[in-house]
This record gives sequence, structure tokens and C-alpha cells, in this order.
Amino acid sequence: MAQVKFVHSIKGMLTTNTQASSARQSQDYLYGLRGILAIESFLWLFLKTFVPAVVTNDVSGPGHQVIARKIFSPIFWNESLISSFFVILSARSVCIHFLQEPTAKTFARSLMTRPLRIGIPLAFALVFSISIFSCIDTVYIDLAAQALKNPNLAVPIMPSSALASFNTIWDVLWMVRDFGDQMANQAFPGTTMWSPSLIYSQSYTVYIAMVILPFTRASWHVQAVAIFSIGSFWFDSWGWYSAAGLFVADISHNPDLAARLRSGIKIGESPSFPYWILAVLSVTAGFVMKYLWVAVFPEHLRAELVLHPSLHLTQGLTIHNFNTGQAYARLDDYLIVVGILVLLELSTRMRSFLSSRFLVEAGKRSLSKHQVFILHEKGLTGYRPLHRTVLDVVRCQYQGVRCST
Amino acid sequence: MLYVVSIRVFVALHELKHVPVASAIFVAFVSYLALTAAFAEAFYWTIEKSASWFAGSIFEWSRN
Repeated sequence: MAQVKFVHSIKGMLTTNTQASSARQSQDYLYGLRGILAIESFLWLFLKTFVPAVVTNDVSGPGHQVIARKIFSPIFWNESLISSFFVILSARSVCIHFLQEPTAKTFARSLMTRPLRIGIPLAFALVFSISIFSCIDTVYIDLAAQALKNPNLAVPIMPSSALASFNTIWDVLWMVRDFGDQMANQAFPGTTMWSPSLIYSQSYTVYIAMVILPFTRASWHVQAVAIFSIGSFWFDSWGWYSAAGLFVADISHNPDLAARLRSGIKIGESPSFPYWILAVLSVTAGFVMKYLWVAVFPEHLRAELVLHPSLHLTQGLTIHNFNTGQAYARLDDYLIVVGILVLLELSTRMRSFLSSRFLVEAGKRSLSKHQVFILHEKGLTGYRPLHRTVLDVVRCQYQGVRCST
Repeated sequence: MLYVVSIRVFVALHELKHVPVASAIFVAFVSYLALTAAFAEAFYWTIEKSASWFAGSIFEWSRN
């Protein structure tokens, strides 16, 4: 019996259900979008490490690097834009199966499979990372930081024991706030582990809200999502990001809302005002704000937090101490991402571009890329002696001993 | 890849062989690109695909 089940499950892996496969293909452009984000984050991590002045205002650099940062970074390697895009795109994606087939089975399947599908790769990545950095000598990272004049390039902090390492890995999917402060984020090189942790936590906002949508009047979804978004914007929690992703998915799957999006806003007898103009305005406004903060007022980057009323109404909370040292939901990113996602729903040409094979395959591997951007030391055995020599040089320099090679 | 290999490549070239910073960074970039592509592919097929299959199997098993 067990063998028969096993054979059936293998067959299930190899053969694809036609209906599910065509549904998947129709959403392939989301993988393509993820592919572009994966390429951007690849670039961001490299530049943040080797040419920090083109990424952040905190590190001084030659004039041409500063100009490159001001011109290109808001579009091609902006950290908050990339991570915000991933958060909203995740909310846009996790509800697809349920909205396509709103049954108890689909809902249960999403809830049961997601922790394993995200948790297992993250656990492996952290096990690799912690094992490697616990075993190797990391002096070379300090030396690179000196040579590159990059104070942000730091050696990952390792958990103190095996039990602490286990807790570090276990905690990743249990965090609900202060994602940047968790040990896994400190232990993972590049301190990027807060992002999957936040994305996973936010998927529960989507899970709760998505159950309601297929069973309620579509014309009221707009108001409901707007009220929820205003509520979470008030406190600047991540809920308004998740609500936006869910709402775009709702538009994509609900024929009534999709028709309204295509027909535009009808005011009286005048011709309808198309939504694509609003979406373009949203993207433009977002980029104008982004350029303003990155190129003109980099020292006031956090100033847009004044828009959130709770910061003024909560004792002791200011824009300077709200979520310091970790990411927060920004308005400029929100306007850009939501505008682009709405435009994608309206433009078949953009969708077919993003459905190109290369981008889709790159997008499917975006989680894997995130893990291995940073990891693994195997494969360069011939390089080992050179590396040993470097470490010896470094060690001697550190100990103040004269050392000739 | 970046922290374990590419930074080492940079340090080895720049500190030991006295290669200029820009050239050392370029070599580090090439190593980063090639190794990320290769290892992401391996990670995707071995760990991510298996995790996805395992998650689906656990769900189907829980229903019987």
C-alpha cells in the first residue's frame, strides 16, 4: 500500500495537471518580476560589500561613486525598494491558489505547506552559514573591510553554542516583530535574514484577509482594503503592504473587479478616466520621493515617518527611535510597487516580457539565490594554499610581528 | 558565496598579489556571479524542490 502511494506521489510530481499548469502560466510574470528583483538584490549585495559609496550615504567615497549612487541606486539597487517589493509580491502570490479555487482544501494546503517550503530551505541555509563561519578564520573579512574602507562589512556574529544555534534557526519563522534584532539576522552574512522572516510573518495577515474575499460582495472589497490599510498605516505596521498585494491579486482573479479596472473611473457623462494614468502617476510620485530622499536629502531619509499619526500620539515614540536599525514600511516604495503591479494587470505586453523564460527561471530560484549569494566555501580547493598564506600574513600583521612572504 | 569566496578572492589578489582595487573587485564579481549561479541551481534542485515535494506529500498524507 505504502509503495502504491509512493508511486502515485512520484507520478504526481512528474505529470502536471493541465488546469493548474495553465493557471500557473498565467501568473508566470510574477516569477519574472521576482527574477528582476533577484538580479537587483544580487547587485545590491555586491556593491554594498565592495563599493559601499554607491549604495549608502553613510560611507564617503569618490565623487563619481556618489553621483552613481544618486542617479542609479533608486532604480537598480535600492535596499528598501527591493525588500518592499518582495514583501508586497509575496502577499500578491501566497493567495493565488486560494483565490483561484476558494475551497477549504486549498486553504488548508496553503497553511500546511508554506512553513515547510520556506522553513526547510532557510534552516539549511542557516545550518550551512553557522557551520562554515564557526569553523573558518574570518580575519580576511576585517582585512577586506579595511582595504575597501567599508565600516559596514562585518563578520557575522555566531551563536554561542549548539543549542543557541538551534534556537536561532527555530526562531526565524516564529518572530512577529523586531525582525532585524533576531540572532539569525546577525548570524547570516549580509544581515538579510530579517526579510524572509518578515515575509513569512506577514503571510498570516494575507491568509486571514483572503478567506473573506471570495465570499463577500466584490464592490465592497475596495472600501474594506482601504480601511484596513489606513488602520495599519496609522501605526506603520506592514499590514498596508500585505493588503495592497492581496488587493492586486483580488483584482486579477475577480472578474467584476478586473472589468472595473479596465473600464476606468466613470464620472458623470464624461469619458472614463483610465486607471493606468493613476498607476503611472503613483510610480512617478514614488520615484520622485525616492530621488528626493536618496539624492537631495539623504540625511532626512526617515523624515517621511511623520506621515504616520501614531508616532505623534504615542508617548516616547519619534521618527528617530521608531524601528531603529531595521526596515520599516515606506510610502515611496509602496507607491512604486503598487503602481507597477497595477500596470502589470493592465498591460499584456509587460506581462509577456516578464514571462520570458530567463526571468521566470531566475525568479523561481530567487530564494535559493538569496541563500547562496553569501554561502559556501567549497569548490576552490586550488585556491586554498593562497588563502592560507593570506591568513598567515593577516595574523602576523594583527599580532604586530614582522612577516615576510 | 560573497562572504566566503569573493571577499577572499579580493583579499588574496589585492593584499598578496598587489592587484589594484578595481581589478581585484572585478575578479571578485566574476567569481560571485559564477558561483552564485551554480550553487543557486544546486540549492534549488536539491533543497527547495525537495522541501516543496515534502510539504505537498505531508499534506496529502495528512488527509488519508
